[in-house]
Amino acid sequence: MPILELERISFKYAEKRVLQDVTLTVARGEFFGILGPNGSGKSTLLNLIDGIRLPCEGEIRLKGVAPGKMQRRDVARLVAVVPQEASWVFPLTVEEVVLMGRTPYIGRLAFESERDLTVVRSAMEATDILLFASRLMETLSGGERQRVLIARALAQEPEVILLDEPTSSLDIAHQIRTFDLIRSLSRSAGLTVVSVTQDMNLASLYCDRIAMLEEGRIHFLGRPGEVITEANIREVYGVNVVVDHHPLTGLPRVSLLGSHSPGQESRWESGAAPQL
Amino acid sequence: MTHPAPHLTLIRIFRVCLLLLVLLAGVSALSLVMGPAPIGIAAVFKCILAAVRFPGVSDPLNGAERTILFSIRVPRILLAGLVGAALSCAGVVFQALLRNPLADPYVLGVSGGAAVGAIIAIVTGLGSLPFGIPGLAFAGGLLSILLVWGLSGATGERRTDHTLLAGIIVNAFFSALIMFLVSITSGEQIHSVIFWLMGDLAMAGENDILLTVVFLIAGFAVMFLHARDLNILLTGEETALQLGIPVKRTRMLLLISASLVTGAAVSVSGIIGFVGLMVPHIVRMLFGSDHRLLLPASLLFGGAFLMAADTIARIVLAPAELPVGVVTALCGAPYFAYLMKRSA
Repeated sequence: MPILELERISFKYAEKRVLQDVTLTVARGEFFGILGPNGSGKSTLLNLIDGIRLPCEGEIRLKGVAPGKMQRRDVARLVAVVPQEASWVFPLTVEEVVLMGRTPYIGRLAFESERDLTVVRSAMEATDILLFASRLMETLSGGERQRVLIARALAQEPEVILLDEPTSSLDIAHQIRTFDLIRSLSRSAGLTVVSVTQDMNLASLYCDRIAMLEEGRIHFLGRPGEVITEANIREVYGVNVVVDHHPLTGLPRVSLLGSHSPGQESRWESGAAPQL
Repeated sequence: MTHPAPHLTLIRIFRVCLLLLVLLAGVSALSLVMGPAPIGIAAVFKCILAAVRFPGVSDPLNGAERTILFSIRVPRILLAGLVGAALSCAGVVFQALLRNPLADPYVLGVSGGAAVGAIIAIVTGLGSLPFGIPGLAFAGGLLSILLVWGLSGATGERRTDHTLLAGIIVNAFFSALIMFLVSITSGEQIHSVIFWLMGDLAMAGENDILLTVVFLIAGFAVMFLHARDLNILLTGEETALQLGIPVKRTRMLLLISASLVTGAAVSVSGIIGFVGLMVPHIVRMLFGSDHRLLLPASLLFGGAFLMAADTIARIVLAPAELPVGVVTALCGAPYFAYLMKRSA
């Protein structure tokens, strides 16, 4: 049984169609990527998977059960979410935030057990944040905060991790380290990964399969080599790019083109170039 | 700092609470002996020891002094402690639920709503029913926080500044209602109505104390049982859902319990502002944001804080008295300004 099944999902938000007829299955241990232009419904899709929003039509099953019908606590033991960014109005330390990941396992009046602390410590080690465990969230850089949120998700010991543009504020070293870590967890511990990203090269490098969304529909679905092509990107994003092969991995490699790049004059035919 | 922070343990909670209990005891001892009638601390101790028939101690106080001590000062100090504790806990909960460090039962209009409820109870005679005044005060407080909640989320995204704006609007509306009720109230009732507007602890009675104790215990129990949930709610509702908190139910329970303790406090003491703003903030700075410690610490510190404020109110113009609400607003409003400037 696939760990995650979406069957003909539609979602409207105030009369606006956000997702339409999305069908998708993700296998246990798969690293699944979601690409698509801004506003194509990627983040909403994540909200539907973890049951924060309910689909208007269609069915979602997490290990065979609709997340909207489960207790929140049970969903939280199964699915962890790494949001894009969170705001820190109150003074909270890094360790306090990572410990929050243990919430679905701790009883109402209980304190953190030795095991909870061990899990939290290894999540902080894995994300390279142990050094500033006692610092306040508001004093960290955007990239450091992002790693804290990833550590909190790992502390949940989930079977599925949902990432919403997890690397957008990370430098390339931490982009690679984060995705390496998540990929190794998916290979060794069977963690299923669903990651929204804007970075096609990262997606190409790490994802087993990719869905490319446009206006709430899955336009292309398949292995990176099948989805990340010049023709598909032109169709969905309306821009010309060069896709060739990564010299070492042979996976698709996307190179952007500006309108001033050689070979781009043809894009603005018959005097349609933008007038400044 | 390079070493991991010590996480919260039961021992730390006990230690901090013990420390604050000592503070509370010290402040209450000071308040007991402060006042226009000079009664020394030694005399008070001897009197208490004599009252419990401690061998070899005779009561040094005369009848008038004993009356001042036990019928005026003791109830008033107890009530100050209870009201301070109630308003502080309510402030902690409102701040966490609205994710706004400037929230407070007074600023949000909850105290105003509760006062309207209490005044309606007096004016209509419903106040003579058991739990009439605190019951309607609770209903008024709950109504205003639900109004604030609805208004601040009206644009979809719940924004910090919208919460305060909504509080101002609700507060203005309830103030107008209070003025309206005052102007239609007849002579003999007007005195008890005016009392609510000032925020005063002078009329502390046995029933008031009992009532506040019961409401405070019930409300605080619900809050403390949700202390960990409050921690998570600080990071936002969506995150709370993702970490397994049933947000809607939890929020409703907490709003009800915070309105309950506010309603009790307002029905016995009137509108005392800014306690619920200052106390949680000071405690958070001293001991951190974890509600398992923040809630009990605010309870104790808030009690000591209002006792101290009320003592100042009693002695600063002695033999005349200030309403304690004047004292808390005189230090609270500048504190609010300071917090606003810092968070801007």
